[in-house]
Amino acid sequence: MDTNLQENLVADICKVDKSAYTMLVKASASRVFAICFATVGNRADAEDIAQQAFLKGYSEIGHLRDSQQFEPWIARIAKNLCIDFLRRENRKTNGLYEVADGSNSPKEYPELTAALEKLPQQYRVILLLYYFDGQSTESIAQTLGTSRRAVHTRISRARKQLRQILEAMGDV
Amino acid sequence: MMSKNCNDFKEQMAGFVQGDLPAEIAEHIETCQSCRSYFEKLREDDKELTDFAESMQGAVERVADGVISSLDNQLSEESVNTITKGAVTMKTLLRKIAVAAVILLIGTVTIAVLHNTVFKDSGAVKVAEHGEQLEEIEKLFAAGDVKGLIGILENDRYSYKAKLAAANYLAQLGDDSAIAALEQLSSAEADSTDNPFAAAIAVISAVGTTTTSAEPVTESAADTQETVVVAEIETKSDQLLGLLPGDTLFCLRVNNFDVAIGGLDQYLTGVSPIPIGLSMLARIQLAGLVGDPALTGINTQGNFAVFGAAVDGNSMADMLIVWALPVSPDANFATADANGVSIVQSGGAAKPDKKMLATRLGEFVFMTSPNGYDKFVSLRKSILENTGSLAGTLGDDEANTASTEPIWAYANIQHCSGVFGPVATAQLEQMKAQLKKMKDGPPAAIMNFYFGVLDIVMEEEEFFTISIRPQANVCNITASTQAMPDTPMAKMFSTALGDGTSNKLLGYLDDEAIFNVGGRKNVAFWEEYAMSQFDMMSLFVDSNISEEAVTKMEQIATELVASAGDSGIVSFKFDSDAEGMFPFSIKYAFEVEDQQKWNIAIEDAIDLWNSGAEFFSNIGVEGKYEIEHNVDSYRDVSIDAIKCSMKATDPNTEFGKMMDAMYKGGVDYKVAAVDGLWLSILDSNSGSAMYDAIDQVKSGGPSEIAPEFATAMRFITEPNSADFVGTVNIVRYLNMAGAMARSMGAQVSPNGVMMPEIDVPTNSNLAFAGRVIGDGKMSYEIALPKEHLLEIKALQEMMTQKMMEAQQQAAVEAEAAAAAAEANSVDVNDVNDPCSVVVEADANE
Repeated sequence: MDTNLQENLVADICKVDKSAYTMLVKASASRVFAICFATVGNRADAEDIAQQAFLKGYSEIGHLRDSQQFEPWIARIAKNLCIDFLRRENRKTNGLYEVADGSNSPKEYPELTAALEKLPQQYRVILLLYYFDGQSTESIAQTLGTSRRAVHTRISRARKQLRQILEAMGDV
Repeated sequence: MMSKNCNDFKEQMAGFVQGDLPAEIAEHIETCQSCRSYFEKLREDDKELTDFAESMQGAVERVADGVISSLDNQLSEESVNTITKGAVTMKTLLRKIAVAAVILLIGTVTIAVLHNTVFKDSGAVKVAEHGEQLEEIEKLFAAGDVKGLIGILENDRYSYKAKLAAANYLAQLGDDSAIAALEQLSSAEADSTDNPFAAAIAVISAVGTTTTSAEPVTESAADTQETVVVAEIETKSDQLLGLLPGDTLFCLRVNNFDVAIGGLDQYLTGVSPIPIGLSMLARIQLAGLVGDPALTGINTQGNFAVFGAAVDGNSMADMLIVWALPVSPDANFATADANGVSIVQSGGAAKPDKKMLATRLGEFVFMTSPNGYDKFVSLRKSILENTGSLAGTLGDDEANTASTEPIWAYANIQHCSGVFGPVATAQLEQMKAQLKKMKDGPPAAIMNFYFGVLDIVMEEEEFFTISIRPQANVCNITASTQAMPDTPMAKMFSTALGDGTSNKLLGYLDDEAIFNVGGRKNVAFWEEYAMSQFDMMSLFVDSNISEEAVTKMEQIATELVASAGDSGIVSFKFDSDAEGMFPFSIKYAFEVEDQQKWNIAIEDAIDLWNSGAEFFSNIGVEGKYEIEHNVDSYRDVSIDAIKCSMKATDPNTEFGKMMDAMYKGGVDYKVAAVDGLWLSILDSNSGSAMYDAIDQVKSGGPSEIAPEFATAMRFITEPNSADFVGTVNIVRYLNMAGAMARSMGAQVSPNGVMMPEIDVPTNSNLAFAGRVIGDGKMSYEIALPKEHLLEIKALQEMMTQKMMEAQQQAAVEAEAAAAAAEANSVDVNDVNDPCSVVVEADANE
């Protein structure tokens, strides 16, 4: 997302302009959803948690003084909510197949989703962020508050591990 | 350098799935079917991931639509509210009303009931009028106008919600003249189990009968409940741990207050710069809390705790800080209200207005600040309902530690992250942004590194504990980390060694070292540790290091771990007599299982280091390693040399001076493989040091551990079962720092006095140990002998004295020089000096 636009939008929100926040939500939804989906492993739960994250972000946005930091900030809120959710549910990430409805179901990608499930969480997050959000390492670096080099390295490792898992599953 | 094979190419391909392949890889896959096929598979994976992501766009849109819809609903509500006083004022007022309602409904009211009460006057009062009434009530409360508030209760013009608010404020003011009016309203709801006006009466009654511990105990519903709890809790081994909530955010616990704090006093006697004992300071704090210097009724031989918990929510506003104080079985306690809560004076005679909320649970009284009444009641209720205690969260081992160690602290990183997360993250991001803007601030790479470490801790650590065990001659501090399941940290701490054997090489550690450490091979730990270091490095170096180099580092680390044997040691000493030479002595000894594999990994590491010249020049260092084989031989053992030239790119900077003072242009390691051991020694005379080490190995290894190290290990719990053990000598470290500063010509005082030469004798060491417990848990122990603290103190005092003497000497010399200069000036130049006139006059006579 354009940095200047984001800065202006956050500034508008601080003036109690909720319509500005909706633009931020639209711009960040794919990233926040990717984080939630990769962490809790279930689409319906991920949708709920991503929504909660944005609503919590709205109520707490007064704490955010540097508008350029919206992306990493909302990502952190989402991640924390996912961790809370998993703790409450007392389970590890699983069930990528468990979806609320049948449309566009991950069931269409059984091998891939099974392999993603076996991928370590840190790699699953980076990989889904990359593919869900326009495949930009710069945008991911901003969201995760890290460098492009680190993002590139982790995506490479994630691809390698995913391939190893797929091969071990018989997709040689 | 080894030539690349298919594995090397495959390692790199994943980085180029979507772009052009580097020429070298492209040429290779033209001729290699296996690699070509692998690359095609990677591209197929990429396509499938892209399609998969596209198929999920519906979910992404639903997220955005759901949030926008919720926000729109909030917008409509607030637009109605702004009819009267504007959104901000209304929001504040509504929040206060909400708090008021909760306070009134303590003990009997649920959220659903609250909802019902709101419906009682729905439609009766227009929103605008409602806002005006609430504002009026708020003003009356601010003015302390009890009569005005009672008038609200008695006047039918006011809405039900307005009366609720007035009742709440009257409860807070605690004036019993309101009871009659409240009873009128209460009687109208006599059938209700959630009568808010009766609750207000109860609160006023409690405030009115507020007493100190001299007040006799009365039997109440809450007391009856309490009896039940005590019966349940006393079946557990540790009542306090059973009372603390399972989702406690943080906790500090002192077991047997008198003994624990007394032990700390004993340990710090003669060391602490504060003349007053800690036990006295702690008692003063405690007296301030309970409002009684005599601590009447408090069992100071019991277990104390202060803890934080988020109650009925997950934000900072929901946090309650609570003291748990043990009370004597026969202690009287203030009368509790219907919710089992008392309001007690806590400031004593000095601060008669200071009050705390208190509730008795088993052998303890829990106390918190008076503005957290509703949350305190909720907390009490959840404890009574036994919804899960900290004992359950911790597990048996850690619960036992919490019960037995004199001082124990706990932080649940994940809960804290949830509660403080939005605020802390906002502040961290702000700090990052500010640091980036600073001209002379730390480089972005260093910031990335530190924030990266913090991120890992926040994401992968579940909870963290520290226990402190002070004794007369040593203080042991043990920190434990429990990792979140399914994280790299959990993998790192997955497997305890637990084989009953110990590090076989500790005898090779030398006495008089600054730093000694011995470690054992825990494959899961070291492999994951190495990977995490490379992750960190990728944050640190950013674009200064290639993808290929990072991959190569991972390979080398994996090879080293695979080819290493069970045990290894590193010993580091400072040699102040090594004039003109590298002033450190470093000895490495590692058991090696596959010597050939190990040697290749070492040579690859040297190649990699040399290929990273650009990176090192960026941090101001010119360094190069060269290996020379068979430079010497001793007892049929071939000795190699690893020569390292190391100098600063700019010798005139502070960093350049330090580098040159340390490395003197370069160092020369001697390396040898002897009977399954890999030895590497760096010393001002590494030739003879290597001979000594070879002699040791050939004679079957050292027969005993060096005395200093053995003494230090006596303070560590079960050192033989640890993954690593070691010592640090802080006195020697400070002596070394002083010598290094002198050799660099550093000035350490504003007067320009050189750092004095200090050589305080030292025989003791700080000892440490770390062990993987398994199941995601790791513990670290530090033993700090009092003797070492006294040695550090002696060094600090001697340094201060010498600095003062040097400063005085410098001042005397400066004064003498000034006097001499003045005298010279008088003799030669001062023609107006009366003495010289006299001399001239005498001469004329």
